[in-house]
Amino acid sequence: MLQVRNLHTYYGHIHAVKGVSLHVNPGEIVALIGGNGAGKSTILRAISGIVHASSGEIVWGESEITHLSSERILKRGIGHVPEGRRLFRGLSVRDNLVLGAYSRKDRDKVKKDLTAMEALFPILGQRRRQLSGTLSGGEQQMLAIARTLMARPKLLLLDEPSMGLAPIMVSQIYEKIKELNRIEGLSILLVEQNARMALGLAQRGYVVETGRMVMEGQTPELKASNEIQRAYLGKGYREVWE
Amino acid sequence: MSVYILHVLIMVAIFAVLALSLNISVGFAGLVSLGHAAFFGIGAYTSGLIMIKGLSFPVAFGSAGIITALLGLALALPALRVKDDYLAIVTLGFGIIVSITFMNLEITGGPDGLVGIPPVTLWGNPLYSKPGFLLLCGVVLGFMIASMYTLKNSKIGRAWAAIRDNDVTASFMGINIYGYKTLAIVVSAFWAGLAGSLYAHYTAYINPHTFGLHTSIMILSMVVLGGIGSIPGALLGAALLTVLPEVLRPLADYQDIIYGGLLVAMMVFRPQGIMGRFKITEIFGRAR
Repeated sequence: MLQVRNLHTYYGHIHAVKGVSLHVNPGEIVALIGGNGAGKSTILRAISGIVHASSGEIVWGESEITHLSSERILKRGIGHVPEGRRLFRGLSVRDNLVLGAYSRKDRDKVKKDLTAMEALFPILGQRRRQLSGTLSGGEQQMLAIARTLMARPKLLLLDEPSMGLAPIMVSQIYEKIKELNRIEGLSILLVEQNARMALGLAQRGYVVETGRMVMEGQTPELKASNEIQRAYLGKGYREVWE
Repeated sequence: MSVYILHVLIMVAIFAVLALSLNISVGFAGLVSLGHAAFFGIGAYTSGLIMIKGLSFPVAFGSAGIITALLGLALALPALRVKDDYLAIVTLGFGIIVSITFMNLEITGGPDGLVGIPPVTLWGNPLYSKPGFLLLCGVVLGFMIASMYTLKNSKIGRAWAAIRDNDVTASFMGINIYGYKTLAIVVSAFWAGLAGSLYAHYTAYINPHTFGLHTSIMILSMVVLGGIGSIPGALLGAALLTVLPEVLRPLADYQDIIYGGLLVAMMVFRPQGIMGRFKITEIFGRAR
């Protein structure tokens, strides 16, 4: 459904992504793991058109979207939940959700989706009139996801949903993501530093290091690989904290 | 009602339109402007010149709005490449350029200003009476207030609120940031032009001095004092800063001290303005 071929991006002179290829099949959860500054977020930004791809191509369904504007890409059905949530902190929870549906014209269905979203994340219904900046970190992450879902994407790009959250909130968010995938059939491309959580959820994964894909495969294979266990799953330290 | 009170009320109404117009760009969309008096002036000169040439008031009034809006577009296209404090500097420069232009063009009467601007004429009758003019200003203001509320709660208003709050995220929502920012400046300029037209035909005489930095800062003070983004706030700010100098007239020697002191006290004790939710620092020096 999504095909990225030989993608390169630059920030000024810095070559952030150096020839990355990946694909996401319909209904699939794919994880993109790797350390800080590996280029994971940049890959997502290039797909959603926030950052320009300097070469390579991004194909969505039948058509190429490499050089489309972010508005167009959103309208075609790729929603991006940005890193660090980036809510409209001075606006209410409800206004954030309404803005999520900005690209849509079907007003009646937007209203229905608002109700549906508040059913899916009951806390957002309870906090409807509250300023979004006053929510807790986990609630903010739920709002950020719900806001992007209001655009009715077919593919969700999720950037570090676990960032800065308590472990219990992380599992709750992951439960919701799993539910969205299973019930709605939503395809998800997930970027995470928390490799253990990401590989627990995804069916397939890619490992990114300094702008290049260094490994890819089904999650069971990845989890079994010595390389990954050593670098990302903290093998040898595991017994100490578990 | 005495003529004096009517005069003050008319000035309140004109400055209320002006403050509300600045509130569109500063309050709704979060674009700081230190050159708003330039739009006020462009409207005043346009309308004055058109009526001096013999055209009717409705034509002059409409053209004042449209021509000012076009100049707003001319400013917005280059100026919106920068934001926050840099945008403030660009608008400051724009204000200075416009006021120097008024000062030097022959058609605007140079430093002497434009003399003998005809009064408003409606259906062929000149409107000399002050109550009549106040009514006209009231109608324009009423129409503007209604359209401000409509605009604020529209899809456009929501896009502006999103941009004001966080413009990067607004682009994630599929909002065309550059387009909506430009629209805010253009609509803001349009209404400032209309206010300028009312002012020109009311005073019958305008000069470049009225449309300088001093006035730009005063209009911004009205919006900030009332509360950035708040419609009743802008009205209240305009009323206070128009009436206050009149009330303080007996203390003329100390007027500026009291006036300045009040603004400082406001910034210390209620930086979000009387009715607002946002502090000016949130729009000016946003974390980048």
